[in-house]
Amino acid sequence: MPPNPFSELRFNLLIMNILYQRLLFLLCLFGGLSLHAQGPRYTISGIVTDAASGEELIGAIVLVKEKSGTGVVTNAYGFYSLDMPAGSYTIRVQYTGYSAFEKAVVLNGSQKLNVSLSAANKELGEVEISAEKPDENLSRVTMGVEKLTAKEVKMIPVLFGEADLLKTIQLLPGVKSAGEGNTGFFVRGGSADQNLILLDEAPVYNASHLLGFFSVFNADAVKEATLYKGAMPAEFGGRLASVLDVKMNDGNQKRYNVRGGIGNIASRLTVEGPVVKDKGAFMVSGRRTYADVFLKLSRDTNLRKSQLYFYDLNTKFNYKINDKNRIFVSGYFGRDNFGFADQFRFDWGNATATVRWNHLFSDKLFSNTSLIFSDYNYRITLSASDFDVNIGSTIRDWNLKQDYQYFIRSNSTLKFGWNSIYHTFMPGEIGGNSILSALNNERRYGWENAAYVQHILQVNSKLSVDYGLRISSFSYLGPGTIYTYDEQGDVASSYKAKRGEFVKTYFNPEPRASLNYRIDSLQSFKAGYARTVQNLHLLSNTTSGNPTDIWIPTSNNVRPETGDQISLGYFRNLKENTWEFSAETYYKQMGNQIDYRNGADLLLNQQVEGELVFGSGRAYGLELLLRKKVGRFTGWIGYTLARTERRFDEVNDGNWFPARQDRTHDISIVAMYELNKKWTLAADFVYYTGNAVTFPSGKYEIDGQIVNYYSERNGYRMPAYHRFDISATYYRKRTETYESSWAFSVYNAYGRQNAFTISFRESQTVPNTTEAVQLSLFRWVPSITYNFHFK
Amino acid sequence: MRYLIQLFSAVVIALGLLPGCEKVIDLELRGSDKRLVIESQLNTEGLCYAKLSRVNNYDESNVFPQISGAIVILSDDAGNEFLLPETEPGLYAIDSFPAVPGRTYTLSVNVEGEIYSSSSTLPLPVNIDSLSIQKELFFVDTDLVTVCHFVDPAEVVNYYRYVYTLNSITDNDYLIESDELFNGQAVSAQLLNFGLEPDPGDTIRIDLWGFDRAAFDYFNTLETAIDGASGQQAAPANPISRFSNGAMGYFCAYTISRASIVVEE
Repeated sequence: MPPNPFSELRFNLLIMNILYQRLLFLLCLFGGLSLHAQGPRYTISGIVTDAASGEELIGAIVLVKEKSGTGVVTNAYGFYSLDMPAGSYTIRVQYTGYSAFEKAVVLNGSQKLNVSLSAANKELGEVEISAEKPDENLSRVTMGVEKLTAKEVKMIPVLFGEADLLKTIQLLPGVKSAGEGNTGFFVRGGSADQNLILLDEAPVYNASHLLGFFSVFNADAVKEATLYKGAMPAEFGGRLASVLDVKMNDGNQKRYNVRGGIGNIASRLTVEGPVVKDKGAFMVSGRRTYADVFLKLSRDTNLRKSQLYFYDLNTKFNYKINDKNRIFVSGYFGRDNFGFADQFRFDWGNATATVRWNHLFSDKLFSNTSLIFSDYNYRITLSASDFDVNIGSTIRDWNLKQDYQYFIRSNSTLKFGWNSIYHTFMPGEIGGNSILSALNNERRYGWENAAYVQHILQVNSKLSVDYGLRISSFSYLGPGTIYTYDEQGDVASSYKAKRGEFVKTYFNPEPRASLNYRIDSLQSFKAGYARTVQNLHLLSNTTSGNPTDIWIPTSNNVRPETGDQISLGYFRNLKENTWEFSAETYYKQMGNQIDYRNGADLLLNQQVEGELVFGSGRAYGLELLLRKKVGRFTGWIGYTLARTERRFDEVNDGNWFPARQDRTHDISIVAMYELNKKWTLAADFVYYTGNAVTFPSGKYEIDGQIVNYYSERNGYRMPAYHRFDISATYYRKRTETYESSWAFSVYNAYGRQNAFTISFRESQTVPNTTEAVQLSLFRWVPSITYNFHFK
Repeated sequence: MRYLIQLFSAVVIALGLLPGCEKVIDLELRGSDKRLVIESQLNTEGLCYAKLSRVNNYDESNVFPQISGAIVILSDDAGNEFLLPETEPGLYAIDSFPAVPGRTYTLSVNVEGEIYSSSSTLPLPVNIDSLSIQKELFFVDTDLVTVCHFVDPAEVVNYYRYVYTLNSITDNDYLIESDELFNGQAVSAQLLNFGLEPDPGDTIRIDLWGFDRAAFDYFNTLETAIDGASGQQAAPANPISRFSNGAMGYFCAYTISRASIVVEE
């Protein structure tokens, strides 16, 4: 007899509440350790913005010149808060690519200081002269963090010339591409579903378009992206391997802007401007591909009636109600459409919406409340003369999130908050007049909760720490038929759970800690540990991933995936901080990893959990990065040496085997060069060891057919992959109010035939033998794009 | 569903969006252990055979070593035992074997002192009532679809295979299904064959097989393994063999019902 759902709900809430209060108490204890200085102390706080657009600058550095080592970084909303003893100071605000701001202040009471920075209007060839070069890479406590701005993303040549965030992050060490031209990525041995991809805080469940060759992130709508691949801070959770935090453009508060581009694959248009000058702004951005336009030229009626395109629509609105309150509303909607004549339609896409409210309780306590909606679904419609069926699958989230930042001192910040997500899984909904309707899958429900506290403390001029605890829970909820399975994966028992019944609840503590020891002004040493937990699992058994891959919740059969990662790093800056070098190493253990039984049927299978097997994983590696961030010549060289393995009792006789994403060596070289005012050149080179793959070692005959014989899982390697891409941007016109440019690029410029798949078949030339056939895509893919910007 | 996705990929590639380029390559593949392969069937029409061969290395020819001199014994749960004599190298068979529906048969193969065995239960027969031909608009063309009518028994779980023969050419695809979607109902199974499309005057024959879960699992995973050669599957694997001692292959006892239809003008 299942327990009373309501008493269990109350019990869960109670536990959550107690844990949360304990956490707060503990952290306040730590945070309070340094609350015993003499004399009056005051706070200086404010928002740092871009002077031209009014958009907030995230991660700008606010320093006190008189006290070296005293400084803070603006948060995700451009807000900062510094606490200091009364006195006279010079405040300096700096941000890469912008002229620094300095102001003398007399601190005899708490005060507001909002700062606008102007983009550095540097003439070409001019060397930036600055007393303090930015060295955020050395001072930041957490390691394994990579940041990319839309500007960088747009410079780097990619397939089809369509600037793409996800393809650009694959050029960073520790991040691996899921395949030729693919936007899927693997971080430090994690699988593709172990990355939490956030767009303005909303999770994006399928970040790719058109078989993965494009990502859902339109570069014109994106402000910047941060990737956490190591010890992620306690405020993030829900996935094992990484967090990719993508922020949309806020919109220009000062004046209207129209920008766009026309390319050979897609066109884009973005409009932004003030709603009320200096108070609020909006941004609307759209993109559509038009491969199918050419289908209309076809003589074949069916082809003419066919569709093949995708589009994205991003929109954002923000409004500053007063100095203490601000709201942001952002939304994304994107869809792929594929249709063949009138008989077959296949479309899929994401929709996300976020409403955020920033509130300043005081000049030290910043709060953000977010209500987030996220939906991914696909639909397939088939019709024939007496046959009509539509198949759909959806995952939908409602998410309420509360974050606080308490700026205790200039050297001590406390972050805490909670998060509650209600998930609805609709793995297969079938309509129409077909016997397939009997395959209708029941809906599943999950409730995911988390609370965290995190304390960032600069202990002294050399040592800083960032530590915290996240406690997460996942409840698998009724209604629905709850199954248990035997060892063969057949149903052993089942019962009907009632609406609101807590079928199974898991609690998981997730400690996180990072430490930074600043050896001297040019070097630092960092260490980190993170435990992560994942309660949503993507089922996919193809190499490239499909729109029809489904997400399933943790349940009575599927336990939460866990990850424990330790990492160590050495960071050094060279030539007055113009060059950055880092060496990071990590070891990661993963529990409750998922694989499939032989012949598993993942689609429209109500008992899909019976097709799963569970095991463990381990990954370790070394990542080297040498990067030049400023000057006419910028770029980086990244190298990764890594190993990723999995073990399942049911696979490979229970022996460890290399995961598909296991690649020993991975090298990326990216270079960008401003030749003169008119021309900018960029190039990249990629080399990596081929994926681990299962090839037949033998063959035999059954029923007159040749069947491959496999002796082990992933015992072979695809051939090594390498590729060189180049691009050139020509600025036709650059004035105060108008800018236009042509971008040319060639993907795979030396035409290497990289293996996309290797298949095996009976030989077409030598009778009675078999042969291996390599399929390569994309060689010498040229593209041309015209970009314009009315300012 | 799997076919829909493949079709989708194929159309995308065909539209020239993905200019693919195929070439035959040399791969260094390790040799494999020379496992025994057993293909064995018995049915209600009296067919009864076992073929014994071995695995070859992938780069060897498609001529596989036949195993002669083995002792092949078929027994049933009624206590009967039959010796299958070797009728040609590697082939062990009995003519007009008296298969009894409902019985469980066990095949035992002794090769050089090693015993390999597997069992299969012969279900009660399900007979085809009739065949018909329908015209169906499918994507671009109108195709002729063969419809196989029969009644599925309600009391048990049934597993079926449809074998399609056009004139004298048999399609050896594994068109299999369980009665999950139609248990106990009158079934009209639509059998569309893109490879062997009939013209008026042609004869279509459908063989309906009925067998147990083990055979269904084998044919199902065999089909996945054959697809897996395309390089699209993340983890291709060997089909699930129920033979002891690591032999590959299957032993399947099945009921068979046949019907033919001539395609009209």
